[in-house]
Amino acid sequence: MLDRKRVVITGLGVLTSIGATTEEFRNSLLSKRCGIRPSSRFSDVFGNVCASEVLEEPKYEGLAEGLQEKLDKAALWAYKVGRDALVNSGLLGNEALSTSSLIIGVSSAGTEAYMPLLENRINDFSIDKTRLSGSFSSVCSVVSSLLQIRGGYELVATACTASTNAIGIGFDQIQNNKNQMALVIGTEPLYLPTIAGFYTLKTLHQQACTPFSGVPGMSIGEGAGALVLEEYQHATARGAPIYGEVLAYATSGDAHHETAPDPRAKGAAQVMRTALANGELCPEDVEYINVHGTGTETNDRSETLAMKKVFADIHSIPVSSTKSYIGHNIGSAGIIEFIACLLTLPEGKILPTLNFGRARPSCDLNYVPNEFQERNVKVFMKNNYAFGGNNCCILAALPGNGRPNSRYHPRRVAITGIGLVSSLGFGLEQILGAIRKGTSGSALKTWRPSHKGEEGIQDFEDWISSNEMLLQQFSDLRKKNGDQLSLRTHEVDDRAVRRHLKRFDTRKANRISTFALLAGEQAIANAGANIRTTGKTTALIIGMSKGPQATISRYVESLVPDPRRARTFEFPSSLMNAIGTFCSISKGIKGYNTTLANGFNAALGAMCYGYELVRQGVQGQALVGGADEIFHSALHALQENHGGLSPNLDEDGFRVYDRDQSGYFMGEGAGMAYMEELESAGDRGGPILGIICGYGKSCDGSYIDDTNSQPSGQWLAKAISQALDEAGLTVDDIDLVCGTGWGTVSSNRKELNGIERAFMHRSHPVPLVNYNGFFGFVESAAPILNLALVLNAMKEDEILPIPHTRSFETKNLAFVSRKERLSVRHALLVGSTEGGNNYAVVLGKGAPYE
Amino acid sequence: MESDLESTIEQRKDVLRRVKEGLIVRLNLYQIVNQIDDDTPLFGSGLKLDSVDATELLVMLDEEFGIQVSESEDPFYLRSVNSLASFIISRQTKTNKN
Repeated sequence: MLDRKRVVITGLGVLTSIGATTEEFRNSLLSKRCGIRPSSRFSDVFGNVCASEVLEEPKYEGLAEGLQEKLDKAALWAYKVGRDALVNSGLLGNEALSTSSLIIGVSSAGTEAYMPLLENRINDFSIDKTRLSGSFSSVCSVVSSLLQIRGGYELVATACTASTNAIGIGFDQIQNNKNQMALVIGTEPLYLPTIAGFYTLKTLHQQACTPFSGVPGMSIGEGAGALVLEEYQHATARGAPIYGEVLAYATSGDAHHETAPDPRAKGAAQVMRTALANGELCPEDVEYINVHGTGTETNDRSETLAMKKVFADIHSIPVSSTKSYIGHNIGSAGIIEFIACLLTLPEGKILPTLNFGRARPSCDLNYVPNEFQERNVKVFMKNNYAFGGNNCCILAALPGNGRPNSRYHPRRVAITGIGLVSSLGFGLEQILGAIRKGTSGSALKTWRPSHKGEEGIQDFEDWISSNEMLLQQFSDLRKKNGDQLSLRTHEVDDRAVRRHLKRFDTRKANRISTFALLAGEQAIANAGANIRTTGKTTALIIGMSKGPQATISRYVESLVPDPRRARTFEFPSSLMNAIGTFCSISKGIKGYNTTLANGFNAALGAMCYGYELVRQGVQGQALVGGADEIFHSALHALQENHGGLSPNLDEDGFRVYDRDQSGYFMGEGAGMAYMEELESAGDRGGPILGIICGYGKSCDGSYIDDTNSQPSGQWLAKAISQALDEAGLTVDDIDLVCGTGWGTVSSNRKELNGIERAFMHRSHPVPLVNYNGFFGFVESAAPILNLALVLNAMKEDEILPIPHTRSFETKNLAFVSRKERLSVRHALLVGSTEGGNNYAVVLGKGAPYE
Repeated sequence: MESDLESTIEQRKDVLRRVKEGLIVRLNLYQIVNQIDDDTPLFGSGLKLDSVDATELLVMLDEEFGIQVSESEDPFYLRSVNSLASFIISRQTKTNKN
């Protein structure tokens, strides 16, 4: 058994309607100030609507001139609170940040850059902003670059539990010996799509919300918060301030409904029990619970029920909701509420639930109505729940709590199942068959840029011609392809996918979700696992790039011309966590449930997190992967154009690592891997396809500075050596490297330079493959598609060549250009996101294993 | 009299069609209009709608038929496609009389 590392909190940063500094926020809380009032930004649209808004633009210290205009508020706020927390902790500019990780929780990201189009403020539209703040994970790229945090980042997108879950992932990042510190941030500026969704769902309270009492309803809010998590010894050695300690956490999936909580509150109870078990605590140890407490009838009822189920003596435990001060801050709710606890509990006071009137019939606990209750709390619990049934619970303590470390027995982790959905077919067998036959899964699509029919969004042609930069962007593509925009894409027939699926709600399944579900079902079947018996201890971790694009578009269109008529159907399913929770609901997967929307190659982040959960023994199994759908629209064509599609539209026009050609074809589909504890997989006779021996993460931190046209790959090389360290291997032990780059000049150079650098001291050039050419670039799922072919090569001792590429870049690497017989004991899977995050995973050969 | 009856029937057919089309578009039903029986229950075993979908139904009533429903309304009208159509027609008639 190993002791878990003690993880303490050594820095705080916050931005809310009732305080832009921790000092101000603490004073407001202690004087019971409520920041919810008639909305100044949204009242003209929604009539009398209340919100907790940050109306004064905070100061962004240390930000280069001219940068503020190019960044969205999500990134700016994250930067502000992140920097404040580092200053508070005495770490700003510290060298140690190059090995610290960054975890950001947010629900609605990459939104602001496109709002001018939606709100018909075309002149406010800025290409620079879409470039720097236009993708879901750009907030991570921006903040890691500005604060020089290079230990790798993750963007947690589990809606209302995003920042709570982010604290948990930060905790794990310190457990695995890779980071001494993690900066955890929640950021959520309020934009029209979010408030419109809650408005049409009729969940908004007419005034400030009154959790557990009076008229049901929630208040929406916005804000940001940040925590520096630090390994205890490291913190005390440098004399850091200590605000508290994270003891344990857990997440779970209700597997019930896309918006409503399970009325039996099973998932909400399970998450508390798992967190207690992880921290080796009993319910009696918990002296205070800071609840989710949105104020809606369903939340307050089922949350009360959940606490009754877990705590025999719940009436003696004060529970209160911070949302009565600042409303529901969605993606940043959890971390801000957690900070509220850390700021007020040391005063010996428990924060009351404000606006408390007459308790509702189903609500009969001690909600600390209106007045502070005096109590010295050492150990407290923080809960949050989200759409789709994402639940998260954190157990924390104040300094000097004297609790022993919790322990765990580190497990080895095997991959026992793979599921694939691609343009070449479903499952490894079909795909290998298609590859052998030389079938191409791609097709030429002509797409007329004139995008009529999107009412309210200006005609595409007009839109382009009104903006010189856009005009130039598109004229390049047009010149090549005449009047029409021609694209070669790898698409998946979703009707065929639906035919393969067994039980699912056809009504609620969008394309991307059916891809993920089919890949997940295959991976489970491939592993020979029975999810009915293991569902409660199976994690589901999904990496996302652009997510449910078609649904997002449909939802956004419904906001025009009248946002009060937003489509309630698409609101929850347009969120990033909708795919993971849809799979959880369809299959009854109730373990840890997280969506990591890190962009390109996001499935690698999901793999690392799933691995960590199984390695620490908090979950028996993990289903990890990614899914993508192609959506042809003006905005996305613009995004793709940034990214660099291949100008060569021949079938073999996507040539990764080609010296003479840059660019990729878009692909869609899904890839899922089923991981479990090696020993128990062996015991049940499950197929051991491969073993995960270690992983590494890093981030370039050069996102803002795009003069860096010759990426050195030094940080990717760092991730590789970190992975080798954990695996206890050297570069000579690695028989095959698989890259997942997407074939643009910058992606090629970065990946190849990084691999070359890491393998500099290897006796012979290392064999290198990359199979994205077979599938088109399936943004988030690419690593799993590649993984499947690598594991197959390890099994068959035969390596398939890199498809299509003719003349490889000159590198000291052995590009596999024809089929090769080679015995591979250890392989390395590497990949980067478009924002500069890097991953490396060492894979060991599967059964028979030693 | 006969033409009255005919126009009532036509009106009902028209409302039923519009209700089904609205349901299909707004709630992502996988059926086409002809595949939805007039007596299909909206919830439970029928179209399997849930309480969140009910909110969208209210939006549909407002947008498509100009009918605002108050919270106190007996929810019986939400039983089936037919009962929803009857409700719409009775409301429309009432409005016309006023």
